[in-house]
Amino acid sequence: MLKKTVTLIIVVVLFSLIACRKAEEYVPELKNYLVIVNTLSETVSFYDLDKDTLYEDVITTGRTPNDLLILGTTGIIVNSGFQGIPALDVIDLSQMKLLSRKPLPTGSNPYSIAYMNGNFYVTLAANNMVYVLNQNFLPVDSFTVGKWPEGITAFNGKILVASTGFNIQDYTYGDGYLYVVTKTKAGFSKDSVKVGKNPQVVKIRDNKIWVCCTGDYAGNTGALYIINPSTLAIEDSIKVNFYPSDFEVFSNGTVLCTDFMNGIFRIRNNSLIDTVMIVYGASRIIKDGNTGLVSVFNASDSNYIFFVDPDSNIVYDPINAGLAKGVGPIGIFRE
Amino acid sequence: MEFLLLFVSFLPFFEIKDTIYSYACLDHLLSNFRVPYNYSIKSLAFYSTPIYSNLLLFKGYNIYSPSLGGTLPEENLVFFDGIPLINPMLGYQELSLIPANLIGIAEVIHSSSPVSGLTGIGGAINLIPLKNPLEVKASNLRKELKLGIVPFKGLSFTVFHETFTDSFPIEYENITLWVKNTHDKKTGFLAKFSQGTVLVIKRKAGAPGPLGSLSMGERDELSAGSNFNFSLKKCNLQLSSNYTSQTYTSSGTSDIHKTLFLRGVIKGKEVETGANLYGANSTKIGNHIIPEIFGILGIKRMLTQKTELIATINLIYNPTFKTLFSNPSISLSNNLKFDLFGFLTVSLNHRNPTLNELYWPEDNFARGNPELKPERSFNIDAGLRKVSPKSYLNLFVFFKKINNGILWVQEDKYVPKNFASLSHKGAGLEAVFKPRKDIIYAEFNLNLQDSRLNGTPFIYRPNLTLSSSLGMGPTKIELSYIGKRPERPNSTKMLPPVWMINLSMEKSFTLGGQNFAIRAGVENLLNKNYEIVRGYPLPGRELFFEISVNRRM
Repeated sequence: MLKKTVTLIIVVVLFSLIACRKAEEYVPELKNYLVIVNTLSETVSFYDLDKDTLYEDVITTGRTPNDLLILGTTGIIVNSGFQGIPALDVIDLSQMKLLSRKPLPTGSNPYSIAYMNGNFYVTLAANNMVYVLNQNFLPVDSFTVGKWPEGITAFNGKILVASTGFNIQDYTYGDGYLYVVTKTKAGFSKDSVKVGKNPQVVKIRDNKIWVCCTGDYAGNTGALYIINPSTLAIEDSIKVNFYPSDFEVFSNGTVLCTDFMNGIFRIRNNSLIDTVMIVYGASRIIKDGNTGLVSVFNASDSNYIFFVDPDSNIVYDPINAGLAKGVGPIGIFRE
Repeated sequence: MEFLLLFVSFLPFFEIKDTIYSYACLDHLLSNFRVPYNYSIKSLAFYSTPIYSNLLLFKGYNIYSPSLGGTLPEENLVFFDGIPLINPMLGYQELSLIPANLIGIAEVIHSSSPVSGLTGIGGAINLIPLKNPLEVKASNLRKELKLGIVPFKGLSFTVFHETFTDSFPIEYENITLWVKNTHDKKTGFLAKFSQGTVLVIKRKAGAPGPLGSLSMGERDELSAGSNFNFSLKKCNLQLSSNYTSQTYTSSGTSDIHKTLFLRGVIKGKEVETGANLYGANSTKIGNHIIPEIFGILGIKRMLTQKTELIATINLIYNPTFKTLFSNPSISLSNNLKFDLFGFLTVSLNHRNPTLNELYWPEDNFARGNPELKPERSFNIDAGLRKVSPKSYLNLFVFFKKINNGILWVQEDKYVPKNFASLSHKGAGLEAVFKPRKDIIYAEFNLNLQDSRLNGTPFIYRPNLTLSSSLGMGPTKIELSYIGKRPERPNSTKMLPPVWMINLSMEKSFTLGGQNFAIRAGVENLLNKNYEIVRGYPLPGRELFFEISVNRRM
């Protein structure tokens, strides 16, 4: 009897151990999901948009993740490397697995990434330059660009870089510029347009260059600039009385903006500003059809992803993304 | 008393009267080794040791912060030879200021501090100086000199000088890097009188930020502390002070922070009263003075022939926070057998916000919060202690629950808030064996612990730590282990375990009637650049050579 009992206990313990191991290795099979980069916990969570289910901390990132680029089934996270080594994390989104971590220059504070013609372009803010990497993420070239470059995107064979003019020594902001860089046989040719204080984000929307200037957090509030990509003339600018950190443009020209301290705002007809929601931590914003998805950062309480209808100005179905996660960049993956 | 005497036999330069134990308890309240606190005493033979019992040192570059049982550094009290090293701006003394060659022993009360009128939720640490009059040491990282005069008419005087290298290499994620601006030069003296101690340290040190940081600061510091005890007719008068001055220079601008802590206590048989004064003059936070008065009533009674009760009420009034805390403590000790004792202490304690937490002006990173309230803690410590001439065993459990915990929270800037509910619970075993005098000595500490912040694992706090040392004749081997621990809040990300191995050999000889010792060894034998605090990989292997009058251990 005793022998049987002992054998049974051993079998149960072994099964439990095997089950535990399998549970640790479990990765959900998702076809339509939200990629959530948690900047504080330094992990990636996935939210199944079909089943309304959150899978927390599936992947751990490098140190201080700051940007996310999704290209097909590949996700690339830019880790700024504060308290460590800057690096790019390359993720297989179909398998939800970290494929590799590619180091970048120490202390360079990489900020953002863009892709064009088989090359990746990463702004190295502290080095005042952009690194050019090949498909295997090996550096093949670089070019200097203004002072403390942050946002970057590609359009029509050109690289567009938002240069903030930030001075790390005294934490002041000089003049902000948009740089337009073209690869030539001789190297790189650069044009620039002066914009407002602290341009952090540049995007292409409706074949126009949109630049989001956050302002200096010291009285000079922000602005959005709309620039003609051919002539680099500023076609319009929208002054706002807050500090926008990200934006998205919707079908009828409605713009949603986030301000970390003050919340989510809507701009219509390039001038009418509504408050969508007063919330602390409004961070990144992306577009899914005609819906805005906003990540709401919190270091001590629950984090959220809000869905915003830009037409009705309604926020609905918030996703609780976890406690003290510090949600930041988000993206959508669909097979 | 017996167990202290046992340690004295291991550590020949240790005097009982120098300890927290005696300052806090021995004179008036406690009379034997049935101290109802979780108490331990550790020799410091190597510098890279990261853990002493459950005292974990969070090591950065020229900044060491103490954590007892998972608590915050601000929740611990640090003494040097009885001098309260209290910095009212920081809330604690960062320990890298104290020259390593000056410290011989660290004694620790892990239970919530019983030191009168001072509020160490985590406990109290007393650093006891070595008494060898000469020590010269050189390694690939540091150089040291200590020179003292032997006690004369109750006075002993020691001068010291210590330097640390300005850069060292690290291997980090398969990349070789150089950590720079780590220089640290300390000079000072320690004077011991029959009735007290004075310690003065002048320091000039680099203040490098963590990896990836562009910060390259410089610190000039002066620290002067004193502690004196005077026996009056029916009572004892204790006067203590600690002055600190720091000039921090970065990016061409300088800030000056001066702090002062003053303390006076009159101790009667079962009653004590006194006052503390916390002050600062800073280019950042301005001028602030926070006074505090306290009165303590302590009662000791034998409940049965074997069971002793100690009950204290520690009334502390602080007009700045308009608070009156009673901080009661009830302790029971029980003589289970002739050499086996049980102890149990239940207490309440608190911590006031530091001056930085209250008044730090808004800058690019942070701002203070003048609305902060004191933290409150509930503490339980219990254990069994067995003492025999050749061994010492201490088995303990502890639980701390801290409400209104103050932590710096990342918002648009870092802001201190009373948002945290912290809990620390754990169990440990301490064992010392010395089966044959002067031949073999073995020490072993194991701690299991769970620290939580608002229900989630608290960063940097391991579940398992181990520290052990083995002395065999002239050889000493030390092994420390810190288990994996959360690297980020509420995250699966973990800092890898630390395995620290230190080794030394020594040879004693007599010359001119003096006992000399030559000691050589290696610290961090595995040559790993461990991160106790993330972003601060520590130096690798250190080879050292040392000559001293009277050996270190």
